[in-house]
Amino acid sequence: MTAFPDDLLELLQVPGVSGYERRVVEHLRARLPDGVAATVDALDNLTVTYGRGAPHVLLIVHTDEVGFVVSGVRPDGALYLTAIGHWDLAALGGTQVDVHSSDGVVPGVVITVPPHLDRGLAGRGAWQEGDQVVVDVGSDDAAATAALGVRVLDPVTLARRTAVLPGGTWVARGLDNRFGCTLLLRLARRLAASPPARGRVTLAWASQEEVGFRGPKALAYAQRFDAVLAIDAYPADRRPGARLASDAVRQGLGPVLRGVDLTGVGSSRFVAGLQRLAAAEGLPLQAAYAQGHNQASVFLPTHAAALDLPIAYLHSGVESVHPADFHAAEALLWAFVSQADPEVTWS
Amino acid sequence: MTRSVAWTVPVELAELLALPGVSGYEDPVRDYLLERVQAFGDPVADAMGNLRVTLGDHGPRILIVAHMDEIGLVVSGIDEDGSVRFEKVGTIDDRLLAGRHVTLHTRTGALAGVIGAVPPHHGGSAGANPATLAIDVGAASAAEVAAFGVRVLDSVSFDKFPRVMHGTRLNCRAVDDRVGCALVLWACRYAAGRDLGARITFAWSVQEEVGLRGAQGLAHGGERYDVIVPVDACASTDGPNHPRRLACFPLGAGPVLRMIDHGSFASPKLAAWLSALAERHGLPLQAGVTGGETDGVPLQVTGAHMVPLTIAMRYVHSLAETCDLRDVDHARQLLERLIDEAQWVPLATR
Repeated sequence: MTAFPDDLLELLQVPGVSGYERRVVEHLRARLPDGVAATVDALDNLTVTYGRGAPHVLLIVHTDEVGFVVSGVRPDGALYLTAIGHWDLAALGGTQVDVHSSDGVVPGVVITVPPHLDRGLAGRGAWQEGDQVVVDVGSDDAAATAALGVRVLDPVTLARRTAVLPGGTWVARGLDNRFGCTLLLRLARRLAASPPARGRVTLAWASQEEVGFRGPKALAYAQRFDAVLAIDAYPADRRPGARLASDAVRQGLGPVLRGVDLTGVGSSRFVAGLQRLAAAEGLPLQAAYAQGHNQASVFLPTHAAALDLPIAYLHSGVESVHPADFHAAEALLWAFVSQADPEVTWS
Repeated sequence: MTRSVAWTVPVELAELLALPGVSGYEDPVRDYLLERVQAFGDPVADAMGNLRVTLGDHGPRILIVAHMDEIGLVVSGIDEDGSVRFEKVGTIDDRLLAGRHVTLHTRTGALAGVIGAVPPHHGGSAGANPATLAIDVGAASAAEVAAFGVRVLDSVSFDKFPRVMHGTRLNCRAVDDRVGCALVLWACRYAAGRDLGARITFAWSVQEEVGLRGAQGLAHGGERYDVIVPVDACASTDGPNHPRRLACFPLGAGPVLRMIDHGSFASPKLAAWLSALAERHGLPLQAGVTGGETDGVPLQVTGAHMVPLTIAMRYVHSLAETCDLRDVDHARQLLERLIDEAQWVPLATR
């Protein structure tokens, strides 16, 4: 089994619910190599550029994760949480959560009604009230909750658990898209030592992807790029009886080029060029349609594609990635940006 | 006793919480307890796995019992694609399965796994048929799963992460009933070496969560008791959004004499005696009605005074069972006072 890489494991410990990515940005910026100035825009998009001239390539990942925000403190001291990003709220009962208050982490649990006492409440899930989730932080009234430092608008994450499965896959909440953040951080170090032979490569750690690509949109308005490659997660779920578009994608067989998804059709030339590059480098690569969206699609008009890692159980507490896919993606990204002329990939 | 000071989880309770012990697979818990109680007396384990040790040789016959088992899963099959199928052991809300970390206990060791969850934006839902759920161990084939040592009938426990909320509120999987196991262990240690006015049996039962089977074994085992005190969890409705009409025992307001539940009516005579004992010693105590059953159900009908001494608990049978450490400490003290004054417990003939 391959242990979690330290850089990925460290980053997984940093909370970064959409709109609250600042700590992730600070963590990444502190680890960028010296010599090239990084910029952080008004939406907390972190970018750094290596090389000069044309073509201008953007590699983009997102720093945010799905989570929650405290939307209210009840008279009984419990919290209402509003989901940030897609969640299956019905599956959250009995889940341990971390409230990230200004005073530190406050532990909490999503309430349940025990089966011993179920009198119909559990039908909907006692922990759900409309679109909100009820969380117990151990206090008995609103004043006690306030004394814990909990405030409305504090971000909340699932309590972080990591594991390495016997088959080798890494498991953690927030792998989407901290693996991408880590890949780009590694790329930054290599680019700092070996800048692009031709043109520029901008690396972007974007905010608020999970809530409508808001960070990427701000980047798209700010600059034009000749080619954009988004690195993100591909839903590769394994569940008996499930019928997903991703059935053909398997973990451990390489990253996935998503040529088509709900945001449209990617640049077929760019996709073909990346496939040629992977073949030339002897790197495994899968290709598939995805029932989802990718942030490269907001960069119009340009050559856009998405290079994903197959992730099982997206937006749950047990997102998983295969290390072989991670390392293959790392190699392919480096092969792409270190070409003598990256433009051959899409032209 | 205030909540301004953060309580720490007693070491033995933390150790007991960490041990796996799905119903029918309680060996790790029993081994842990056996190692400790050997210093106090001559422990006996019956064929089902119930463990007991008796101290004192005269006076009323008292049984103090907690159950070692926890709800969990058992491997029921392995699909060709490497998915590990499971069945539930004990009462578990189907919606609390997907997306959880689990540990498979194989003959060759413990293995990490997860119960898969299809993302909500791809049609996943906790309301889906639980038969479509499976454990993922990162394998791509049944042969790979077999190579890991996973076999049908291996037990699977939910992973446990004990945390204390707001200073005193312990939450973790298997607080029900490792807190009882710890309390009985501490009571046994307290009684050891004392001049007891009663013959007190300290017992840890198996298979409570699947029909009180261990306690049935104890009841049929031939030993008879005058007084039986199961130490267990008490599902409380004092939490947010709970129906207050049934079992509202505020956490932190004292342990609970569980007078009526789905399986038994406790002994008013013994309850009155325990209440007076608590009052004399300034210990908070609650009493009332809740759901579920305890080991006291099959044991009471052997003809004993029976009152469960229980710990008010929120979110029972979830991964975040929550109790108040102050209640645990008060229960510990009450059990010690019971041992001190055991010769005076009510008997049928008194």
